[in-house]
Amino acid sequence: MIDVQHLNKTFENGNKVLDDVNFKVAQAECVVICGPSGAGKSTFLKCLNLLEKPTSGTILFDGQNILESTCNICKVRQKMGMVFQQFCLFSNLSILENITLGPIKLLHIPKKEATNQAFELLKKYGIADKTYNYPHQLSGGQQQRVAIIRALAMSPVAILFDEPTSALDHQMQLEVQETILNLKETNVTMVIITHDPVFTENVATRVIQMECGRFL
Amino acid sequence: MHTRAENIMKSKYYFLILKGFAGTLEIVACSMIISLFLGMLIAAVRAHYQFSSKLRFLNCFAVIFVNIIRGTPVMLQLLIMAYIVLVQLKSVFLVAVITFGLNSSAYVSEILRSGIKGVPTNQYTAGAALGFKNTQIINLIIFPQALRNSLPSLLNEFSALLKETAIVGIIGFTDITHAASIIRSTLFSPIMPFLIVGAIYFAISSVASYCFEKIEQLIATREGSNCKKISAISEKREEDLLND
Repeated sequence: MIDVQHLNKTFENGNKVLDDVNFKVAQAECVVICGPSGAGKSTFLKCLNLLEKPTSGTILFDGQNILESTCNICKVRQKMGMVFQQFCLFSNLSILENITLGPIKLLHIPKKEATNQAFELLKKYGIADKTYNYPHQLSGGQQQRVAIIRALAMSPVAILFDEPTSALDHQMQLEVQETILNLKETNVTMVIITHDPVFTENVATRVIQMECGRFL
Repeated sequence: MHTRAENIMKSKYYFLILKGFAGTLEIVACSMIISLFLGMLIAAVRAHYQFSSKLRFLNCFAVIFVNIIRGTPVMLQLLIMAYIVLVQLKSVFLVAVITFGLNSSAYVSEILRSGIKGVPTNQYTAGAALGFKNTQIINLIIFPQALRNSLPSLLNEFSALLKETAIVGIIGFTDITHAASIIRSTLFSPIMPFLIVGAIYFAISSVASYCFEKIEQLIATREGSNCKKISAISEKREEDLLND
């Protein structure tokens, strides 16, 4: 599914954050990346969908090298969802609009169909009552669940989670963890960055430790 | 014997003020359309450059344009346009509309640009992560939020534009101020014509302010705490959609 070879990333100030990283994830696998702050975990995750451009190396996604100039990175990102620590919901759009914007504008799904799909996902993940609310009217846990649903609505084959529970209190962490655990049934490939050992134990099929820009 | 106010209201001067009033409204309306369109275009170019470092040449052109407009008086711009750049153009109305449209567009673009800067960068990142292209992110995600942020400043700009058009008389166009000036020189009385014109400007500004406040309230209500009302409206909208 995702095959990373000899990935390096050095920022303009000379700070090398990824040092010859090699990494493979199979279909439906759930890999958790742990490590101290500043180890390069988030940068690595952002490199996987080119939100950060690597300095060198190859990233194969479904057999395609996404670092080639011929690769349409927008299409790749549509198949590889991402969930952020700070939720990043579109603040001017309702929850329903947040979820349907991508499918309607990018996948060209008719509005009616996208709306129905969003209703089903919201119902499935227990926040159907928030359909017409705006992000600032939701708790952190609810916002994060919406962010996951927004990624899911694009029918991705893989989802990257960048510390999805770090900004939440314990109760909200449990809500989000439950949502991610439910995702395991859908065969979506997941790469998760987290510091939570209990969550890691519950969800991970493989755990990788990262330190100083390298996998141990 | 008629008072001066009655003279103005009952004589041909009444029509002169009406003509000037119409002229002012036409110039302001047309200039606003140009300034909004061009201002959004300039802001979009600069936002593109800010987020993707693309359109470097256009961005450079936009920066120079905005700096020149902001760095020179609008009266001088009007004179340059009327007697140098657009000297071949016979219509002073068009000269005025183009000048005020261009002038205001520079300010509108800066207002929108500051609105864009006020949108958190994670909104851009989230759009990119979903698979949107730069243009889509700016048009669908960043711009609507920037527009909402900029609404009070835009109202201020259009209010300023209304008052700036008062100088258009210097190129021979009869706006409401110029009409008052003509009446003053004919009646040898400045008080009544200028008071009437002042009241008209105040009335137009007040109506415009009221409309913009209503728009702001509408947006605030849409995103505010009145969820039940929103839900009811939205549910009905979605039901209609699903029944289509």
